[in-house]
Amino acid sequence: MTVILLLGGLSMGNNPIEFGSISNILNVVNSIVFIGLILIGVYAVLMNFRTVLLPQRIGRIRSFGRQLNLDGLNCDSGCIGISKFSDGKMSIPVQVELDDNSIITADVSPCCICIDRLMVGDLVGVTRVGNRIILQRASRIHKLICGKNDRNN
Amino acid sequence: MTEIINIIMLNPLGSMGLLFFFGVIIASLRGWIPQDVLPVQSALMLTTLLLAILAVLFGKPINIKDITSNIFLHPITALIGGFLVAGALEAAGAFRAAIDILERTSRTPLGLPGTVAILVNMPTIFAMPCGRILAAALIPAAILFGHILAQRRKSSILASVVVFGFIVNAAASCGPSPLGGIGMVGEGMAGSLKIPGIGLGSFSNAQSIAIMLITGVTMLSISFVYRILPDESLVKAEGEAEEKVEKMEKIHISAYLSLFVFFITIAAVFILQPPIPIQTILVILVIVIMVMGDVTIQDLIGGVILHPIMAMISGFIIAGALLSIGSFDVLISLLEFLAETPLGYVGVAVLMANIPTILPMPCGRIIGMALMPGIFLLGITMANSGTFSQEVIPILLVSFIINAAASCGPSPLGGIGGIGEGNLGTEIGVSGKPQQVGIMIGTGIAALIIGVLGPI
Amino acid sequence: MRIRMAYSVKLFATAILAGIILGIMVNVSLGYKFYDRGGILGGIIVGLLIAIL
Repeated sequence: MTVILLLGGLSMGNNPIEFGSISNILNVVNSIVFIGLILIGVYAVLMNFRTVLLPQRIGRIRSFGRQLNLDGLNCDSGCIGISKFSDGKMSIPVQVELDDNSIITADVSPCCICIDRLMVGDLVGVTRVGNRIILQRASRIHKLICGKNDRNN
Repeated sequence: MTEIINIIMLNPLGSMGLLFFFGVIIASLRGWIPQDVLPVQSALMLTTLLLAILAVLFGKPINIKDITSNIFLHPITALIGGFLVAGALEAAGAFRAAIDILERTSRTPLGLPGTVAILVNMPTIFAMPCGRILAAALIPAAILFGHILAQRRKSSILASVVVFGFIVNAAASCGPSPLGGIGMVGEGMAGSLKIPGIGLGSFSNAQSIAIMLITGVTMLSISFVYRILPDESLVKAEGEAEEKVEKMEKIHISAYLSLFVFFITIAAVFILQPPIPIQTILVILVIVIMVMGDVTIQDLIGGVILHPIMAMISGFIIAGALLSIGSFDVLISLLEFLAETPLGYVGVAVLMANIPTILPMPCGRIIGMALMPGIFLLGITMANSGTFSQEVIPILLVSFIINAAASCGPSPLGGIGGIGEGNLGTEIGVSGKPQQVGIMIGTGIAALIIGVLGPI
Repeated sequence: MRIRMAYSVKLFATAILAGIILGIMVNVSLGYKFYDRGGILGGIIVGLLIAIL
C-alpha cells in the first residue's frame, strides 16, 4: 500500500502534493487506481501460473455442474450439460475426483472450458484460492509425472 | 505475379513476418499445431521471438520499445477493472437478480417473445468486457426460456434459436464494451487523427445496434435455414432443473440494488462524461457494490478471467513486432496491388474487415489487436488515395472490430459457441455457420451506420 | 462536467428502428406473427437500453 501511494505521488512529477487542489488529488487517485489495476493483473497472472504449474491436488473431471449423477441424460464427452447449474455465476462448477477417490466441487472459468476444451475424464489441477477451489487443465509436466493420458485410466 | 514477388523481395523480413503470422493462425485452425501442446496465444509469442531472432540476422534488430509501446495499458487496465466489476456483480447476486427480472417480465404484456428479445440481448446491454461472463451467468435463463417456448409452441428447435441467438450476442458484446472492450483500441487510433466526432465511446452505439441485428439474423437462420435440433431430453432436464431452482431461491434486495447501481453508473458516465478515467469509475463502482452486497476481495479476484487479458497482450506484442519489421508495410503494398484488380479498394476493405471471421480465433482480441494497426493503415491508404474521405477510417475500424469481437463465437478452437452446443447436446461446431452469417450481415450494418449516420 | 446533449435524435431513432426490426426477426424465428406486440415492444426496449447505456 505504501509503495502504491509512493508511486502515485512520484507519477505526478517533482511537484509536491498540494492537498488543497482537487485536480491534484484526482491525479493521485487516478494514478493509484491505474497502478493498482496493473498489480492486480500481475497477481492474477502469477496465481494462474501457480494453479497451472503447482496445483495443490491433481484429479479428473467426473461431471460438470453441481450434481455428480446425471441420470437419464446423454452427456458424453464434449457436453457441458448444466443440470443444477449455479445460476448467475460466471464460473462453472465441476465435480473432480481426486487421487484419494474423494469428490470435490471446483470452479472453472468459462474461458477455460472452451479454449482449453475441458471434457469429462480430463486430468486437471485444483488449487484453493481464498474461499474458492480453482480448476485448471493439468500441465504436461503433471501428465508426465502422473504417467496418465487424458481420458484414460 | 512479378509485382507480388517484387513487393516481397523489397522487404523480405516484413514478408516473412506476415507469412509466419498467418501461417501460425492457419496451422492452429487446421489443427496442424495441436492446441493442447501449443495454444495459439503461446504460438504467437514464440513467433514474436522467432521474428526478433530473424530481425537480428537481417541486421535490423527489433527495439524492445517498439513492442512495449504497442501494449496499450488503457484498455488492459479497463479490462481488469471490468472483470472486478463483473466479479462484484456476480458475488452480490446481480446476475441472479437479472434472471429473476426476466422471469417477471415474461408475465407482462411483453410475453415470451418480448422477454426473449431482451434476454438474447442482455450481454450487449450489460456490455461486460468478455462475453463469456454473461454467457456463463445467464445460460440457465436462455435454456429455461428455450425449454418453455419449445414446450408451448411444440417445436424443439426454439431452444436452439434462443440459446444460439444469446450466444452470438454474448460473443460480440465485448466489442462495444466501455469496460475494456476491443472497440477502445480502435477509438484511440481513429481519435489520434482528430476526425470530428471520433473519441472514446464513439464506436459503441453503432456496434451495439449491429449486434442486435446479428442476433436476429442468427436466430432466423437457425430457425429456417440451418435447423439445429437440440437433444430434447437434455433441454427438458435442464429446463426443469432451472424451474425448480427458480421456485426455491430467494434473492436479497442488495442484488437488485447492485444491478441498479451498475446501470445508473454506466448511464451517468455516458450522459455526464466526467473528467475521470473509466478505470477510477469502475473501482469506485466495485467499492460501492462490495459495501452493498457484502462482497469479499477474493470474490473480486475470482472475477478476473485471464484468457482475454493474455489474448490482448499477445495480440499487442505480435502487432508490435510486425510493425517494427515492416510487415504491415508489406501487407498494405499487397492490398494496394489487390485494389488494382476488379476487387478495388472496397472489395479489399470487405475482405480485411471479415478476416477475423474467416480465421476465427477463440478470443477475438488475438486477431483484433494483432491486425488493428494494419486495418488502420489500410484506412489511411484509402483516405489518401483521393477516392475516399477520412470517414473511411472509422468505417473500416468499426466493421473490423465488430467482426473480431463476434468471431470468437464460431471459432473451432474453443469458441463460445461450444457453451451452447454442449448445453443443447448438439454436434460440436454445428453453430458456426449461422453465427458467421449473422456476423457478416452485422459487419455490413455497422459500416452502414457509421458511413451514413456517422458516430452516433 | 458537461451534460451530453448528443443523446441525439439520430441515435434514438436508429436504435428504435433497429429494435423494431429485431423484434420482428425474433417474432418470426420463434414462430409468432411478425407483428406480435410482445416481440416488437421487447425490441424497442432493447433499442432504448442500448441507446441509453
